[in-house]
Amino acid sequence: MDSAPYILKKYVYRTLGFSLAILLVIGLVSYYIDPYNFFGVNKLGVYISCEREYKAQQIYKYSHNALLIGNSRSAMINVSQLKQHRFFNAACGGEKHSEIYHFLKKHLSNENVVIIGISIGEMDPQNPSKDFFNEKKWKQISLYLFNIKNIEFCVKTLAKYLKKAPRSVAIDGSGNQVGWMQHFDTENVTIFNEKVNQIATEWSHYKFHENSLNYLKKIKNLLESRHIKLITYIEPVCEPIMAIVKKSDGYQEWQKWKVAVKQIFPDIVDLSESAYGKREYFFRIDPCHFRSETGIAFLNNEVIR
Amino acid sequence: MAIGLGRLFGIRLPANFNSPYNSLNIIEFWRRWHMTLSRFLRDYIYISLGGNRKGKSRRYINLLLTMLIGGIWHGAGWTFVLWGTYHGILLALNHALTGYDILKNKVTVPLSKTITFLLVVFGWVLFRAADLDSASKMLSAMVGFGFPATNATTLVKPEKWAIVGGLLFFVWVFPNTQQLFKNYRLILNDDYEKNSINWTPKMRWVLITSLLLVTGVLSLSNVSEFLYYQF
Repeated sequence: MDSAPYILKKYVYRTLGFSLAILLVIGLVSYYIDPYNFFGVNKLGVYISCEREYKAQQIYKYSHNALLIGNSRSAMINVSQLKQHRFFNAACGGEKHSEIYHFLKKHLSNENVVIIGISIGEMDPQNPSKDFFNEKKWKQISLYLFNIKNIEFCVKTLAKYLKKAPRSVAIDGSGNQVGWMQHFDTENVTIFNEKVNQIATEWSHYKFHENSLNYLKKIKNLLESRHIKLITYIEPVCEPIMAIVKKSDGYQEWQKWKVAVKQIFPDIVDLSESAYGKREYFFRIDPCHFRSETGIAFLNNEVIR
Repeated sequence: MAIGLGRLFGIRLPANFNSPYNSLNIIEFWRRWHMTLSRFLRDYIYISLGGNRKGKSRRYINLLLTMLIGGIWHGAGWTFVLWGTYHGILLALNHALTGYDILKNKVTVPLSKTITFLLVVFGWVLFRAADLDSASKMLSAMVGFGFPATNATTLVKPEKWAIVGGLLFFVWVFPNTQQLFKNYRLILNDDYEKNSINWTPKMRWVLITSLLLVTGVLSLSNVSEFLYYQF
């Protein structure tokens, strides 16, 4: 008959051994499916929102000579329909100037042109983002491999692959706007107006801060040092929002911001008050995001030269 | 964790929580939630104020005062004052209705537990909110007012109800750790009711513990602050 301490010791060893075995299987499955394409070994496609991880790997796989970068508004533009160059869409949702700088610094190779979409009033955050695109650390790798959310994403990836569902990001980095359309493209004037008022109220109180565009200067210097042509544009603002902001102090602050940005990029294309701001060029209940077709139109007609 | 760590050093600590969401009413809730504080408040404040020895009205006032002090003990803010008062009122009401006990059956027991749970959850909003304004916004949203339709619907997503329901079912049906380890005398003054499920160092518990350990490891990246640590 085994003694009590021996039984308990056996119990602890068995528990640890069994746990390690489960973790090992989970780690191997996570690596094989690689739902974020974090290791660049994803074979089933990316079906979840993980632009930063995916694009940092995919940029090396997709043959291109031009880059479009910016925030979610640029991320949704289907760059395969842009003229003159073969583009890779490196834009990510909520991407700040500091992140754009880090991405370009690390991942630019021999592109001829980089186009940056800048939202009106956009400034460096008080705490700039860390260099997300830097080398992977052990902590990041282990958190990725052994993560309960990642298991969920592995299952989703497998299910969507088997269902042949559309990928969230195309191989050229263009975002798939189908999901966005499902959520934000149903006609509902009340919600649209509510959102317009919400955004316009926020922007009406906008204050421009000096020295909040340091990363834009860094980006300019970086591209100049690498002899890569840089084109910048200020994105169109949805007309109903512009109409409200125009009557507020926020509009004057926007003008100050524009003057400062034009000092950095004298050739910047300003589309903020252009015809591309028409309501029908935006999603039906999302006055913040214009449609991919709008982006393609203004990039081909006004920006790419 | 504290109980387990204490036990490693041969110290047996009193239990502080005993499945509080398994309570049939607010009186029982306070016997199961933060038990050491509840005992302190009862022995040193409620009884010192006269407890139930000076008539019904005085008893209710004592309850209110005790819970008000209990609220302020948690933090110097109006949200805690309100939270304490809210529980004081609930306790007074509960004591006032004690003589009207209803029959315990398969319908009334889950119903009582659900009502108690919802009353406590409403109170947690006051406890957790940064200020009264955010508390009132959250409470309005919980009953479907105050937020745009899109946000309100997010708060009452069916899958969220399913998760809460599933967890409540787990709490109601399965024993807690004190009950599972009853045979190992982990807790000081262990007088918890016997349970049919007991932990033993057998293979089925190896599997259950391993799954819990793996779930813990896999959740390391989703750390959420343990709000109650400061109390």
